[in-house]
Amino acid sequence: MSEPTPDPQSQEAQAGEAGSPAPSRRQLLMGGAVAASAIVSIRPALANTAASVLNCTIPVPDQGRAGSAIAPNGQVVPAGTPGAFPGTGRSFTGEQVKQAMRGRPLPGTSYEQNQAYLNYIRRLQRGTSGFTCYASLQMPR
Amino acid sequence: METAYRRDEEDAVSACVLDDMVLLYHRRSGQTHMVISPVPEILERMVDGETVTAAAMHDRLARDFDLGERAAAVAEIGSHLDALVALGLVRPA
Repeated sequence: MSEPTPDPQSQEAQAGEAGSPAPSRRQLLMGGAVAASAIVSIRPALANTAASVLNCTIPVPDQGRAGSAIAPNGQVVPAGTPGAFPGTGRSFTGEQVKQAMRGRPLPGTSYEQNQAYLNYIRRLQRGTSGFTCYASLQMPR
Repeated sequence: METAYRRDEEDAVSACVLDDMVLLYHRRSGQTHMVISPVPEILERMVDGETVTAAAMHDRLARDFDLGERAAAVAEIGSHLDALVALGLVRPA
């Protein structure tokens, strides 16, 4: 069988399940109040500098495409594209983006504009300006 | 208003199933998440890309699993979804 998991909560739950009469339907292991106990993350070395998260910045879009606009789905499109929002010409801080991902809009943006910029940020790839900052925001606390 | 959630694009994550544990490699952040029940079950029920609230997710899970008392289960599912949002695997719709 499999190795015992290091998570004491799941061990308890499994023991409890084994000790109870066979249920007619499979019992789903719930994590209890602490959802994070069901998730363990391995962090890449680049993101070990948690202290810098608040100060790092994400340009929207990156400088190489500074004059371009951001479509609602986050794609960078030529300036003037209908439905797209002009690039900000500025950078948001890691803290602002973190708050925005939790529902507080980026400063100075409308609802749709905020969604478009967040979609741009979510699409950032390794090597794009702001990626490392974005990746470090996704660390569990 | 109740929060609705949507899974990130399917190709954002590469999954590997190891018995009771699932490894999720999130390409954009370069992170690997080791997840156990009920996280894989929740994510499985989001592959259609539709938005789903914690209550609706409860109903989807309840088709296959005994979840116990509804209010408590919905709250737990909601906290799992929020944890997934913090990792970038799921986003508020």
